[in-house]
Amino acid sequence: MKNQLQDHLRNSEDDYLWDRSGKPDPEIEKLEQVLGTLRYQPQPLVIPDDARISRPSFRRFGSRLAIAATILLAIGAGALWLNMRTREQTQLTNTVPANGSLNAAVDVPKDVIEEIPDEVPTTVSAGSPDRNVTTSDPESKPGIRQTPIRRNRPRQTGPVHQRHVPGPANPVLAANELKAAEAGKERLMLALRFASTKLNLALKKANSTNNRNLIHNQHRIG
Amino acid sequence: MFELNATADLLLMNGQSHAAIKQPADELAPEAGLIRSVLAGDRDQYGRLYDLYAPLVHGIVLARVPRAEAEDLVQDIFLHALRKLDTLRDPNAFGPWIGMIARNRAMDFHRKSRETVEINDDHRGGASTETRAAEILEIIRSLPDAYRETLVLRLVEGMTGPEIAQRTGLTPASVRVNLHRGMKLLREKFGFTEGS
Repeated sequence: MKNQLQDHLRNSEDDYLWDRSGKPDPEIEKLEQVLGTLRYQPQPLVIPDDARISRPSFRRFGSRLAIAATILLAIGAGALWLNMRTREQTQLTNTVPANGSLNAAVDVPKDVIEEIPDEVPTTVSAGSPDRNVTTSDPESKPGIRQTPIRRNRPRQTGPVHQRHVPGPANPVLAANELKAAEAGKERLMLALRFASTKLNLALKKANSTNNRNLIHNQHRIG
Repeated sequence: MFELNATADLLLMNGQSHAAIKQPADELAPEAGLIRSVLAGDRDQYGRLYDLYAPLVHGIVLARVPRAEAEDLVQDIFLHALRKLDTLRDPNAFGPWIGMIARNRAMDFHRKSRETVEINDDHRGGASTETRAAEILEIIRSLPDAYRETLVLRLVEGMTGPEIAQRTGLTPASVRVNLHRGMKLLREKFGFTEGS
């Protein structure tokens, strides 16, 4: 009973400390009286004429712009890489002579030659089914060279003279292909890493501006 | 109606100027409107923000720096905040935002200033109440960070717990705990000093 009474009194004192409700605590009242002399005395704020009121500026949208720029950059890098890769392959096909002596003119892997489209005439005779495929291709236009990537895909289905069979049959060619793929992968990874770094940077910037309003040491305050 | 009055009381900091502002019913965060006006170029509205939040900033500063420096620092903090107002993302969080600026500026003050000795009112022959107040404030300053700020806002600036919670952005439960524990420590310190 005595403990309950003490708890009740303590709670009412806490209430007074909290919001001045409940039973006034003389000790706190005394402290309020004494410390009240140090209370803030209202004074007018003197704003100098040269103090400019800042307005929402580039900084506010900077992080979003940075993210957008990074994405654009990544897309650009990807497009550039694709373009370069395509050009390399096109150049490779251009170096192939038209008289059919493929291996003599350039040191082009046999496998690559096999995948070259039919606008480059090979040793295949005119009457062969493969020749017919070339001439009847609706996509082929005279004077316009198309990329092997685009051209080679449908050819796989038709009656091809020499179809590429991946596997251990052509180990040298597979290695070359692997090399080219590795180089391409390296470039792509580099572009992706670059884009990722930029994104991280932008996110950090965005987070740092967001954190300005956070209360630090919250765990210490309570 | 009661809630409206309570909100107005909270905003007016212990009813220092009760008749000054009457809040419309639908305006939950008047400082947000004031901030928008200031950003639009209305300097006078910043004066109103200053009136509303100066006691909070003063309390935060007073818990950390000598009393003689507090007044000037409050003005500095508000001018600094004016220049940086565009960085405030949530206009409803002006209190926590300027509170953080005040804490940082108080820390900067200690970092930059040399060791200073605060002249007691005894030396100036001041009133005994002020001397006693300065002594108690010194004891409060010796308490952990979490408690001294809340105690100064409650005992010096006369804010209630809910007001402190709303202004600083802390939860009411945190403020209540800080007040309770801080007061307990303060009582212990008084017992210790009186005993010795």
